[in-house]
Amino acid sequence: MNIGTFAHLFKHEFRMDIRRMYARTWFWAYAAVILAVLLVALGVWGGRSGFNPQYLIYFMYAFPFFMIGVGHRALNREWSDQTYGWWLTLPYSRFRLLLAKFAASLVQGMILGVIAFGVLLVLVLYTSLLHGKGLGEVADFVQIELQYMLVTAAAVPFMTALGMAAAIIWRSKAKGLLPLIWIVFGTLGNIFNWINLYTRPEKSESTVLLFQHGIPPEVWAVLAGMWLLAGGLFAVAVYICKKHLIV
Amino acid sequence: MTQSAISAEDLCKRYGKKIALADFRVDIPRGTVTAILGPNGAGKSTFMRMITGMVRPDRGTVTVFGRKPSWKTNASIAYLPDRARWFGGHTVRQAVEWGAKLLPGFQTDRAWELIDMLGLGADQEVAGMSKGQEARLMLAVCLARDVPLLVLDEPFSGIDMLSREKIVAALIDSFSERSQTVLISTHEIAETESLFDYAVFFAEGRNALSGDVEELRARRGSVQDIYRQLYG
Repeated sequence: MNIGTFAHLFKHEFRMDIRRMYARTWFWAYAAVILAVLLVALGVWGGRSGFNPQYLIYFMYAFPFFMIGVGHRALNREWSDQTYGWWLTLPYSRFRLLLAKFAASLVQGMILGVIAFGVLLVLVLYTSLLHGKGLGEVADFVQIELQYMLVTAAAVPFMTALGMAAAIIWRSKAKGLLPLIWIVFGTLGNIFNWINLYTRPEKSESTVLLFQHGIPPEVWAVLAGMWLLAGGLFAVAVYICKKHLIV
Repeated sequence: MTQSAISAEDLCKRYGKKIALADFRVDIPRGTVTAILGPNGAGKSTFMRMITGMVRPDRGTVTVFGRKPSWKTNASIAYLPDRARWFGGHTVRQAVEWGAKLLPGFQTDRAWELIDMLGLGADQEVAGMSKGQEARLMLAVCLARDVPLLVLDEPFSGIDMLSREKIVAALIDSFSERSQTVLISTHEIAETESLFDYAVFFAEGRNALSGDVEELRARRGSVQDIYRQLYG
């Protein structure tokens, strides 16, 4: 693969949605207002046990699902913006065109994930400093974040590939397979939850930790399996884009 | 014997029940400026998309300079898609950079000449452009490529008269400098007739008539007259 052209394709894909995000002033306005409300609320009630910023990490459950949207959007915008004619006639293989989109989506997701984890960490640090619970709590939270990062790292490539595959299948002769894909996804979607239920003791204290007694070995197998599945879904997207696209 | 730039044999393509191409045959000579003519839905865009490998025939074969169309042959084709828009986040400068980095044969100096000639500025944002300005930018990106085949699918669609005049002037200027094979699909026959050496008339997915424009004129009148005879 010519790294030079791939780098240009990647840069083009990466910048497309970043540019849009920068241009959306309402997005930044919402983010600033939510952060200000959180800082004030944590300043006032942050010391109470029921108002712990650690619970905000549950938002991270939505993150892999958000990546379905990112992957889907990376493909679908070629049609919604009427640029697919330029994109599909570039003198590069479908594999390379789709890989640039996949890689750009993953990097965008990783950056957003790191920002989200960073903001949460700052909020926990802020609460600890204001309400005097000590830095031990912050260290505990870093451990929690690392567990969530692991689950996110396992799920994000799969979810991104799923979003891309869904977008390309929708534009192909295989459109009828899409409901089946969502049914299979819905059934397998809670796999981490099942592992955790299996490994978690029946009576446990309330915690936001995903794995209370260390990361069970099954999780590493699932992680590898999810990445393999992501590769498989990506290969399906390339094949359909090559052979069965309707334009 | 004149060598073919594009050769199609018994091309068939269906979209569900709709037949786009039905046993379509044609040989388009190299180095000609060819008009691809016909009413809406006659199969013109499908044929052009097949040339770029975007659409696969259900049956039959098409070759571009003797090769089956694929992403590899697109290195030799500058294609302006129909109903296309340019990337909304770009400025004119970024569009030129995109072309320079991703399109083989792209000549940056030529692109700036064309952009200047077509009345566009480097810092203009695509998002704020009129349809005519955007069409001129897309045409400049295509014409800046020094490649053997130029395929323009309705470059004048929905564009005001002044923009059309600028585009035709840019085309005349470009064709006089290069020995490219050019295919233009258009409904604006009156304004473009002088450009064409060869014409292919599509009707319901078939080749209704094709040939050298001078010979056709001698036999049947102007291209516009022939269009009226065939579809009127």
